[in-house]
Amino acid sequence: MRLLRSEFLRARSRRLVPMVIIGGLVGIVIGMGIVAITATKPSAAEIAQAQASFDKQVARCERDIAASQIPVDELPSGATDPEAYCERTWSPQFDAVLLRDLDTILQGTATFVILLAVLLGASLGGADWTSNTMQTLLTWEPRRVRVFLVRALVIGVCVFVITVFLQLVFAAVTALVASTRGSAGFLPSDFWRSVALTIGRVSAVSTALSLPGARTSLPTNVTWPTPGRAISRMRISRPTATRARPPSRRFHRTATGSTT
Amino acid sequence: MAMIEIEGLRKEYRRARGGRTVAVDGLDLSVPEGGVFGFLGPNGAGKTTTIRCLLGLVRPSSGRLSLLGADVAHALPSVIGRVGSIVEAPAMFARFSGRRNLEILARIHGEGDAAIDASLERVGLRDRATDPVKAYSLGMKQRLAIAATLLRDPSLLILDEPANGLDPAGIVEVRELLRSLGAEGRTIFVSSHILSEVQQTADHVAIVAKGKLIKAGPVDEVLATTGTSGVIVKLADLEAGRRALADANIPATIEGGAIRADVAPDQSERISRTLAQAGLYVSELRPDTVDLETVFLELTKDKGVAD
Repeated sequence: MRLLRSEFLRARSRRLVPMVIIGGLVGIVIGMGIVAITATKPSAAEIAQAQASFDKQVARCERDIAASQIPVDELPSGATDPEAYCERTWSPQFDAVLLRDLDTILQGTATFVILLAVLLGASLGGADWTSNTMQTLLTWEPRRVRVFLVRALVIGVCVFVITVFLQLVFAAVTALVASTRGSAGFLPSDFWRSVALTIGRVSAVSTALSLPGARTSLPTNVTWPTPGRAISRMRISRPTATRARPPSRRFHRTATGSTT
Repeated sequence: MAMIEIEGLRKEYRRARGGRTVAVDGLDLSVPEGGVFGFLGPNGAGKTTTIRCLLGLVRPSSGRLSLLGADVAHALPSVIGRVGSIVEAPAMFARFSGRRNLEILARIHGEGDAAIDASLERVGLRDRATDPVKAYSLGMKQRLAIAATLLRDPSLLILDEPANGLDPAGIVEVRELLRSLGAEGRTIFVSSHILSEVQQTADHVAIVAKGKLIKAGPVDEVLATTGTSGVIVKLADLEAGRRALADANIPATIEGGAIRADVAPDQSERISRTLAQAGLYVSELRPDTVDLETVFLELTKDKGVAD
């Protein structure tokens, strides 16, 4: 427990940790600020018209599913009923900042979140080797398996907490921008559950990849090239981040708008 | 109880292109409790490797080591809390303050702010505790590393080349610190290749070369092994002085503008009295002591291990 406290203090003291958090927050504020400035808030009439059209499409989608007699348990996971599936599959037909796109955006930003996690892992894992303090640490706690396990735990916890925090802030800012400069409507019934699952998945994958990141920094004792090496491996990480999510286009839309 | 016991320590390293390097070759050593023990030898003699083996940082090829009576191979964690150590250069996080570096280490053994303050006070760094370590001089870094070793109030301190790279003022600082720590009843095991430096600090020494123990014992005893001590006498009439001493059965020769009497330094009073009775008055009288460097060179020459 004492070693755990020491490792948390060390991690908390690393300059990169506040840099990543503050940098992430600044990036979110700037990015969403630009979106808010450039977005045009739809009028109430436009929203009402889009809502009517959307309701009609959802109703038709539900009818098609009922007609095709597809069992509920064969619907893509995450969609607990045909209504939730149809609400998610169909988009309202107008151009505005929509809160309902948050889930997709979070999946799109997963690559950056994972890269940050690899960088954090590399920094927290490699710092002792870079500064040559690992030798000092091992003269205080010679049970090196314990040292490395505790360190891995601390890196994992730090990366998970930071990535969850940044994604939650991103979700909150997106909700704010959508409600003031777009629309916070058209949400599928399982929207927040789906967002929470995406945040959890991205953070879990980030955490898992931060540990190889920590390991990757060891051979050269240099932190900064690690994300570069990690990028070359990212081809597998992006699909991994979304692998648990079922294909949202299980049923293909036809040109006429019906589903097959 | 011996604080450190080493029996038949051997450590071999594999070379990258095949073959093996023997860093320590059958070393036997016993460090008594209390005082400063100098572990001396030139670079590459196996001092740091021995210390690494003692602290469990590398596994010996063969041999038995014990710290504070505990077998290093099996029971090191049970005694490591009573051992403070610095291996090679003091390693700290450069961007953290001195205090933060100590806090990180202190947490591991549950030491609080009081221990940190006491350690910083002890090495004279309390005023600079909040400065980043990168702003410290090498001497301050060395003192901070010693402060870290003192956090656990250790009964045994193992310091590897603590005066390495220090300027004269830094060397004096570290020397005074080691002396005072040794005077408190702690055992200080200090390795160095600067033999003259350790001679001023240590009570016991062990001299190693090429991984082998050359000589060990109290400093006076080790210095006496060459038997080359004498007394240097300066006076106006050197030849008359030499004759007066020879008449009193004190063997003496004239060397470099002075008389060198081949007797122990504690015979100085007899020399002075003899010359005075002959109407000769000395302008300088001092012991011509051998130093550890001389002893080391003679011993290694005898054993055929000098470079």
